[in-house]
Amino acid sequence: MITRLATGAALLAVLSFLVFVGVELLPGDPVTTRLGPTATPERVEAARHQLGLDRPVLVRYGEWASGLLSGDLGRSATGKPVSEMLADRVGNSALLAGISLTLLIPLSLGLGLLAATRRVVSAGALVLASVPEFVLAVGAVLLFAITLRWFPAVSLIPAGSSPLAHPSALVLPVLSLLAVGMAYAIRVISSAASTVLRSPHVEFMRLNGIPVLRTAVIPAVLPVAVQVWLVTGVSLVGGGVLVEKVFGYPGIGELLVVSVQSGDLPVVQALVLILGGAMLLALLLADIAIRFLTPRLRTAS
Amino acid sequence: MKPLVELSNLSLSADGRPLLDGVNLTIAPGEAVGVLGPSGSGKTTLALAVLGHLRPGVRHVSGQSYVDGHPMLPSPPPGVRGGVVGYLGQDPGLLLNPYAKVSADLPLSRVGLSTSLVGRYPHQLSGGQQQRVALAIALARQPRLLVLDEPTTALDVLAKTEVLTELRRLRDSGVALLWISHDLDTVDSLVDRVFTMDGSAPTRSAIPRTPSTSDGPIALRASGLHAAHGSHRVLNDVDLDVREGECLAVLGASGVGKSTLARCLVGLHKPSSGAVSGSDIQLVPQNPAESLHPRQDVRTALVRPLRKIRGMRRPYDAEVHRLLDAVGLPAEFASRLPGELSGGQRQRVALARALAAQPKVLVCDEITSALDASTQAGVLSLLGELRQRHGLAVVFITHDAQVAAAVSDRVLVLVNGRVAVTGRTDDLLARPEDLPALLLEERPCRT
Amino acid sequence: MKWVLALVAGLIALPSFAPHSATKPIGAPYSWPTWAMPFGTDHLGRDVLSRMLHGGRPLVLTSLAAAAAGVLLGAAVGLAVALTKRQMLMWPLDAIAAVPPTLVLLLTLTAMPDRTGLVLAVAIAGAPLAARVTQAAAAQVVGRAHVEIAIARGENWAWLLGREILPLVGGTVLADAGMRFVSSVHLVAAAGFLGLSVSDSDWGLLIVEALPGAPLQPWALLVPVLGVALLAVSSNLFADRVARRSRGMLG
Repeated sequence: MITRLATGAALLAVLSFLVFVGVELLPGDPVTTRLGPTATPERVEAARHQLGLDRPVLVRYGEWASGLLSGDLGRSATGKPVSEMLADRVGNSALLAGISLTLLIPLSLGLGLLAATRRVVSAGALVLASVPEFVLAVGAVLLFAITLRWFPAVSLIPAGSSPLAHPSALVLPVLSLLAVGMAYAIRVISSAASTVLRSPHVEFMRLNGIPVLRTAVIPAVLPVAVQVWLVTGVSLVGGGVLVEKVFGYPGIGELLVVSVQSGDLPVVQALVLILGGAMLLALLLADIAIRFLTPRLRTAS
Repeated sequence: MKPLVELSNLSLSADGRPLLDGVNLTIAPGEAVGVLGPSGSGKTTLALAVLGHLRPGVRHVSGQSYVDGHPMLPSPPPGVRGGVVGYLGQDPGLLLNPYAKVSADLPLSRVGLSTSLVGRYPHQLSGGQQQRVALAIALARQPRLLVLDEPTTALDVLAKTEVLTELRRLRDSGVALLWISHDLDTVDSLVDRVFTMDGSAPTRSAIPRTPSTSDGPIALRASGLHAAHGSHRVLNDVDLDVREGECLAVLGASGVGKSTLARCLVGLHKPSSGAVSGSDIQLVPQNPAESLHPRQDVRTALVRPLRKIRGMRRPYDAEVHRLLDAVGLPAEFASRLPGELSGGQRQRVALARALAAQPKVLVCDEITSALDASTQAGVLSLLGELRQRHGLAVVFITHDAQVAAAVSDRVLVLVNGRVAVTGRTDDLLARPEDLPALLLEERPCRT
Repeated sequence: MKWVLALVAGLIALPSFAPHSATKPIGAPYSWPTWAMPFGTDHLGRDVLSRMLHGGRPLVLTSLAAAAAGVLLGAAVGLAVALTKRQMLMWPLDAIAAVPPTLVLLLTLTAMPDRTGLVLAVAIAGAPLAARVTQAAAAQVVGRAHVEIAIARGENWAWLLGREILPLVGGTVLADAGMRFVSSVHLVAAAGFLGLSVSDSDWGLLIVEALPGAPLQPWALLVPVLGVALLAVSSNLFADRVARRSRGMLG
């Protein structure tokens, strides 16, 4: 477990290095992008100096990384502190992902088990998994907002007010995220379930007239399912970028798109690192859960 | 009296190929019937059909299987499985649900187990305990018939004895048995009659005895071998030697380090201390499915050692044919791929590949454990022939005391990575049934 | 399943058959379909069909290039880890795998907003999975007895890699390449959708542009949505089939 923790920390360090130094090594220049093609070389140089970009990359990485350790995410190219820009938006995105995950857990377990024996369900999940998430979201807009007019196509949530105060604006984004997460979760759970259904001990139980679902199938599927749920929870926050963009939902998606278009690296770097860190944490928790849910591993230590 | 089991003209097929062709078989209450046949003869299919279970791909063509008067195909009425008929399969490590503890509701005393096992998980039991817990599960609702599919084949000798004892007690208490087996010796004394898949009279496939005394020079010697996988110690101070023309059997249960020893002897595993001396050593590996490259034909498998070890150059055909002939395969097999060969034929090719290097020592790692009895006999007598003809020294690694008794001059018993005992086969294995006293240690099964 | 290959080849060839320009207006904005313009026009009065036909080629070619680059990078790393048993070689890719692919895309495009950046971003996002698949397959093959025996008889690296290992790993890597193509299509279309497109008729761009006017002219939205979905679903079914077949190859 200690090794696992150390590996997680090492991966986070590698990630922060790649995110900062690796990106610097790319041939593009975000400052030029931001100032536009009309900027004079003097203006670009001045902007670089103002942002401190003329100092060696490793020095800046050191400052950035030590800032991160003390909770300082740095300053955006616009001069505002990144943490201030992120605060509400990360919360809003996490809310969307949280609601989706709450619905996803029971649904994916049920449909995943069903997909192990019903081809229709597994084929449906395969098709669902093939369609990019923003296409699903746009499809939901076309069907539910434009054709049926049940829900608003755009999540108009005034700045400062909680999305929870506008439940109807949440329905379509949640539905889209749910579809995205379900496709993957169903496939993983059903593949675990069909493996255990083909195993000799399930055959042995059936041949002796013993029911298998609660005692053999669900316990075997659960460790895999918990892992999928944890990973999906995090990836819905990050992967929701496109869905948020479709609905104009005030989460990290919108902020990211604006930052990318304006070449505002510090904001993007901070978000990548936060979500990467969350994913590594989720994987660690999944490992602990698997250890706890598998008798052979639980009794080993 | 109404029969307990009645297979009437039962025909099953898979991929349009018949698996069972009009089988008729009846079992009276309390009767014990053995079903014999080589692997692939449909024994397991027959056993499962009695229980009304067809594995994926198997199709019901005609006929019916009745248990206690109930038609079992396509699906049995509720309550028959478990209530009238119980089932016990082959590998105890795989039969028990790894997520379920041993329940207090099981008739543990009926299978000779103490109630102290209640609350343990399957991986905390030895192989023999696992198989008896599985038996208790099959007996939980007091069925009048047990279908047994090779219930002792995967067990070591001690566990086998334990399970056979309990099965004998059950039969004596009036439970009918349908016992699938590939060898007559196991079931012979326990069943009332034997049913063979091809309708022939049951025969014993004796393992050919191929010892030879030798006092040639020592061809291979290992001294003070220690070996580990990571931090897990596998071999502990192992000494052995083999003379030219001699066969040394290394006998041990699964997981005692036999394969690691083989790999140390041929230089594929670096021992943590100790030395191996000897030259021209070749390995014949265990699993016929993995020992040959699935995309390389037999010729390539044989030519590579000719080139790399013997430095031969074109043409190779004469030598390839000679090698194939030496292992009893026709010359046209040179162009075949491993997928087109049976398990026994693959092991012959693996032997030919080892011979291509003109070795002085062959290390054979469980080369017959994946083969059925008659194929096994063929490969073993070939090995004996090769020893006599080429003066080969052989280290024969096996878990099967009977095979070891048949092929070897001397035997070395490995227990938990140590040499437990070593001596002349004739002294040590005169009665293989008695030997397992050495293998007696209860140890959790690794699966 | 040959029709999937035909579909991909067709998308590459189709721009030559487009009846109109992808950039010049040919009618009023949001015109409904007519015989001359089977899917109507978009918000600037451009022919939707022509834009679709022009947009297929860059989408497919960029995705192919990115998938190939990602698989090559991933397979090289995966093979190296399996052969040397040095798990640390995998760390950079493991770290990248922790980040959702969309964010890898956005980060790389912030620093390098051009087509090379897009290919690079999609390749980097796909490499970790390709590496894991290759490593798992190669580790299994390296442990097979015939490989050990080849090592023991002193075969050189070229033979071991080229004749003993790669032929048995190749099928798995190829099957995985199909999956990487599918996710590349997702990401390249997503880049277009986020306004980071590499051509002026990117299907993702078509979708985002048609979104506000969808109630007026739904065809301009529906056609590219169905286009992306069709390409993604059919290549995924194809990749799934290839993967299933390659699984049965080790015998």
